[in-house]
Amino acid sequence: MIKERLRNFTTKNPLVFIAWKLLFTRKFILEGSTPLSLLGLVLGVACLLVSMAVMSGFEATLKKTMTDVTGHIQVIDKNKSKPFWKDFENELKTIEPKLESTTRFVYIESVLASQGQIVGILLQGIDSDRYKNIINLNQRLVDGVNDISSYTENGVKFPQAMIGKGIARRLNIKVGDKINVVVPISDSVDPSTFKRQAAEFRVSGVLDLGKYEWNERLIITDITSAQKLAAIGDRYTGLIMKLSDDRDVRGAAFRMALKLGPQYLIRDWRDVNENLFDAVEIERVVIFFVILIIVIVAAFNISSTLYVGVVQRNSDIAILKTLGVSKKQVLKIFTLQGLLLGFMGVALGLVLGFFLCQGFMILQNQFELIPGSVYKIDNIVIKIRLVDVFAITLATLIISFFATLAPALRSSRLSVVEGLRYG
Amino acid sequence: MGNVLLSARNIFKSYPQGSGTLDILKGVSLDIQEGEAIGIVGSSGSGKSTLLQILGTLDYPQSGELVYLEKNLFQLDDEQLSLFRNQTIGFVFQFHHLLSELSALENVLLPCRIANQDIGIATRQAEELLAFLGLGDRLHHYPNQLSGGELQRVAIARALVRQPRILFADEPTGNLDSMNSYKIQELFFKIREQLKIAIVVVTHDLHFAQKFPRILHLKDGRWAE
Repeated sequence: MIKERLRNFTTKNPLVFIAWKLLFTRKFILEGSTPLSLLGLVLGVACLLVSMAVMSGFEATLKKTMTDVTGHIQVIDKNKSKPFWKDFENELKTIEPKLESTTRFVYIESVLASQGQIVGILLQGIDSDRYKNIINLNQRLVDGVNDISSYTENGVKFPQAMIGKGIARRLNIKVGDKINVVVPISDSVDPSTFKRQAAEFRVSGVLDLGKYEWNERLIITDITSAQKLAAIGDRYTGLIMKLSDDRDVRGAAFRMALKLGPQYLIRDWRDVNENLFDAVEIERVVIFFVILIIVIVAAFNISSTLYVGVVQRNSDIAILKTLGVSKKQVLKIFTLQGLLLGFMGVALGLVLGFFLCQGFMILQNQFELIPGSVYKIDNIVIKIRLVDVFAITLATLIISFFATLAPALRSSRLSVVEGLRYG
Repeated sequence: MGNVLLSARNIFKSYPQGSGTLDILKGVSLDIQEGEAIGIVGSSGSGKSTLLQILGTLDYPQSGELVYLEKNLFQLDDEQLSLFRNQTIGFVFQFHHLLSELSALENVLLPCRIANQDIGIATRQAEELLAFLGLGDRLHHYPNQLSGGELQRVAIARALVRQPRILFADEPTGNLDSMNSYKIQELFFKIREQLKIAIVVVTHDLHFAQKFPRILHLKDGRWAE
């Protein structure tokens, strides 16, 4: 079917027919430098596809890591005059139907004291009965359990907290240990003095939060315990949200910002980690252009191959001109040849790149290719994006086109008389 | 004889040679009438092939005019000249110059493809033409499967498939043995008789030239008496 269509296409377009017939000769394809030039292009395209797929996979892994901890969107009331949170959640659901669930959160700057050492930490309070629907800490757990509800020991209730693995390592805290969190509260009568408010927490789990800063500073506990410790009543910083579809988080955040007005600060997962994702994006573009150099070199190998082809075909070009092919048409024929080779290179390169990606996934599943203890990520997701395939195809064809121009121009300027005499 | 089809007037052509120039054609004029058969003879270097290339718009002279039905051909651009060659002129050279990747039939169809002619109709015409030239059973043979005489006949078919009004041939028998040479010579006159087209053949084979009703002798870039 495809062969038949291809034949129809080539026979109905005279220039394509001639380009095709002159290019796909046994001598030209199998002998000389053509296979090697083509192989260079194929490898270049495959490298591009694999590197872009790895970058996309890395970004997706990073995104998952971030949303596991921060949720999809955070809404913060700048005036700290939030309505009853359930009403607020319902209001948000009317704005964004894809909103699945929310949890309140509160951030409290505090100090952790343990075994004679103190460190500054950020205490995050979240709804202990709802947070598991919104943020996914199970996969972040290094030790202990994913539980921040109160713990009863000898009839005494202890609030529980999960701590970043950096804090655990620095202060040598283990699951089951008790830690003291101290919050300085300014005196309402004399603002220059502080009251000390402290609470004891039992460590229920140690988390690898995927980000150095979080691992070194974040402690997660039940919002009620945090509110009680900071003596803020039932006030909270904002809501963390999870959407049913994470593909349009930015759009949803935008819609919320429009509806809620400037009183609210809306941050999606990307805003929360803006610098990191900007760096990843820049890295992706840099890698694309660096590897594109391979394609450029390969395309110019094709150019030299075509150049030799033009020299070898002086006589054929001359005879085509005697039969009525104009200079412009000769230019088109040889440009088409370059594009056909470029297209072949892209097609074969994409297929090779796809198989390399699949091969890597299989090897990764069979063997521990990336030690998680070293790289924090023990599994690279390979994600082939359509937009990458399109960009690689377009870039390669454009480069092939420019690489073809020199031999094509030479062929079009060839003198018929000389072609017939010396060809 | 019919009307003047192509008229070359006062053609001068020279090539650079060292610090000076080598004059090849020194004011040659020629009228080619419809259906006329002209044999051009001359020694090597006399300018026969150069004249033929200029008459066929494959090369430009330093000065002079080439007029086809009152149209000065050297004032046309490359696209127009290419179209003119495709529609009006057929070329046969000493070497067949067939594309080795194409079969006999595909080679003959090339000018039709270039003209974007309906390929079904063109194929029927090409098959008839090849049969007329005695190659009905060689349609799908590739150049490396054909003999020297057959190759030249395919080249002639390719030159004729667009039904040109003038056929230029530059030493068409120069590469053939005497038997094939004779057959090709006969073919030229058969073509002229049946297709009623003008034929201009450059040859140094006097025996072949003598068969032409009009023989022109080029000597040192000028017509000799």
